[in-house]
Amino acid sequence: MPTIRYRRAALVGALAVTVACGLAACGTGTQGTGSATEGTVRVQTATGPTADAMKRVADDFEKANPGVTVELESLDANASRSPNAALLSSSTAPDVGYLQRSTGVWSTLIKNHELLSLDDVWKASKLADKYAQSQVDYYTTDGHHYGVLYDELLINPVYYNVDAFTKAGIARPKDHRFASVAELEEAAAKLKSIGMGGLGVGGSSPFGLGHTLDALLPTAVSADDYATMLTNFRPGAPGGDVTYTQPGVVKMLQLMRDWETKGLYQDGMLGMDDSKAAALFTGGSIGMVQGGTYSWANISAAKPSFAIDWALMPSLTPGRTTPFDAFNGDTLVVPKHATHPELAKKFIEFFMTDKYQSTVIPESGSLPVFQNLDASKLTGLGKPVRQMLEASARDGVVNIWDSTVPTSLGQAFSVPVLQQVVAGTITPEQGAQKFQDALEALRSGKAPSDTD
Amino acid sequence: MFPVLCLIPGLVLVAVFVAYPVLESVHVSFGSWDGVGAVVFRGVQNYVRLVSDGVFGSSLVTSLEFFLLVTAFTVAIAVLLANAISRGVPGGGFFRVVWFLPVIVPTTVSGVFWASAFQPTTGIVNTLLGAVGLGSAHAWLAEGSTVLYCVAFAAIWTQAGYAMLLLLGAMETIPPEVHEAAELDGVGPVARLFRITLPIILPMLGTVTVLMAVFSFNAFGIVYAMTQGGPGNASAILPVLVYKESFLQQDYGYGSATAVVTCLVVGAIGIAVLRLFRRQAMEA
Repeated sequence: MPTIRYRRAALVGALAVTVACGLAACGTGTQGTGSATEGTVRVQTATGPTADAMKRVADDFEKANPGVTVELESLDANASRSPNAALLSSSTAPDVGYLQRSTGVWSTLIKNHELLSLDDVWKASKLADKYAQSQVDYYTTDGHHYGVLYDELLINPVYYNVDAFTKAGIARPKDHRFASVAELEEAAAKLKSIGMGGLGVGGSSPFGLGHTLDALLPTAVSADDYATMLTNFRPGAPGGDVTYTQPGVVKMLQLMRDWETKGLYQDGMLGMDDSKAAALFTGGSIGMVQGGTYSWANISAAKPSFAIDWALMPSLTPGRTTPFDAFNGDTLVVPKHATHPELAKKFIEFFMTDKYQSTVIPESGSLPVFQNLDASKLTGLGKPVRQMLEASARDGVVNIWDSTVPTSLGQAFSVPVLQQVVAGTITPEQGAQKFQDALEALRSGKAPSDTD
Repeated sequence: MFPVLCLIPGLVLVAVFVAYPVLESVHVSFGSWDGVGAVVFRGVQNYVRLVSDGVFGSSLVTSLEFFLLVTAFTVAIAVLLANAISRGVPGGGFFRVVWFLPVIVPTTVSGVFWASAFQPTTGIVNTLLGAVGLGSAHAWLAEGSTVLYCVAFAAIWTQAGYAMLLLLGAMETIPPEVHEAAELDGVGPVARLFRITLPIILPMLGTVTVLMAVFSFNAFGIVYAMTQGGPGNASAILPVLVYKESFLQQDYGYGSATAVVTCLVVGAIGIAVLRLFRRQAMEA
């Protein structure tokens, strides 16, 4: 009998220990104090060409710091969103976190004080001197810096198949710009006449039609209204009279719908993601594809059998030119619960140098963010990307709309609305009203207006 | 005492990994939470918002359409397949494996496969339709009017084999003499299926129907892999909406409220189907 009682007690005890251990693993960790000279530093990175580029930096860092191992953890577009906010604030957070300043992750972490200050990294790397002032402001919260911006993306150029344009008798857009909507529509129609699809857009991707809107909106409304739209979502902010139901926005939505009915997009655009649209382009089935500096690396890696050039979408207001849309948001942070915060900072400092900005970043298909670099001396920059960089410096850049406004109005909200407009499920007027309703919910405080 | 002890690990796991998350979801549904930090209590605000939310309403309708389509066709196809094998169709052993194969293929793989198959210019579906003169330019996943049927088709493809196996097990418990006697009495194969086989396996048919109903209502994987709920929200069944609200818009409170309502709807449907079959069984 005592034996049985002992066994029961042992069993219950073991169970209690198991549960306690399990629950402890779920508990909140504390800030790490690991060594700054040895150990394994876990670094998050975006998937794709950036991951390859980061591998090179990691290898260099390991060589420069014997005893240190870098473990890369790549994240795709979905994983880097909200689920990553939970990871970066957990006790199992990586040492260096990756996030995009458009997904709500940054504002969530900042609001909950989950990031370590990187003021010392900024100072050592002289980032305040190397970034543009707008970028410095963007990355300054209450006088401190909690992340570093490591690249810039231009998101609205359209790549086109030069050989197909020639075969179809389409004049190449002058100065890398479609002069008018009619010119773009004519190009698509002529491509169809030779058996090719028109403009490839990843209509089912969470950003595809959002990028189309980003390309058109700056000239669909006045420059002042566009600037206001990037800030008027905050409760009490001026610019409440700048609405999304104004004629320019409705006209733009109507145009996006018309392009679907006219067959300007590839067949089945709304059921196709970004990678499928790009594959149709590189495979020679369609003559144009929406892209950006970020997509050149993948397009060229597919080794298409034809020459490629690029052009900006047409302006919707005569006399104005379409600006480049810039996305400044690829960010590295150090979570509060990082195991090796000092090593993490050391890694970021190692990475944020002119050397990697002028080599690794361009080779990954992105643009460097340091203003002190001479664009002509950047290595690994594809020819179209270099041209875009030069043209953007000459012609001007605006901040991308759908990644600047909060998620309840931006990409996560706007793309399904755009899909409905393009599919004809709702009218452009109804679509515009949905945007306006979302704006008013933000301005009234019913929806959170935290931005990244 | 030992049998009770045997239950403890399972109970602990259920408590930690099922009951606690469910209760926490209910808690979050009454508040506002962005995934980090404390939940800010907002009362029934999220539920009030659900009532007037057109997207939720259309998603509920989409879910019900999807559930009816998938459940009805899955069970019907599974019955026919199981009957064919149990009645000794030539190559039955081979077909049993072939029809079960889609079940073991990971859902995301099935989703990617069917998403590619339904593409307008490169997909196998249009290629086959074109070959038989039925047109080759259908944009199946891009049209709001067709996308749900395509996703439902893929869901049926992935679920039918499982339902077939369960029904086959039930059919194989029917003594062969029953069918032989009916055959001697001149009862044809179709009549035998409806008058003998189905009444006998009715309890299992009920269980399978409930299982398929729950699977189809919760078919997040296949829908998200194929369409991400689009175009617009044309194929956004409730679990997809929950995912988008919670993980893309970081509105966990509203997403949890949607999840709670989804659970209630699934539960109600499950109970209704079980009661229907129980009544049928009692009448039989």
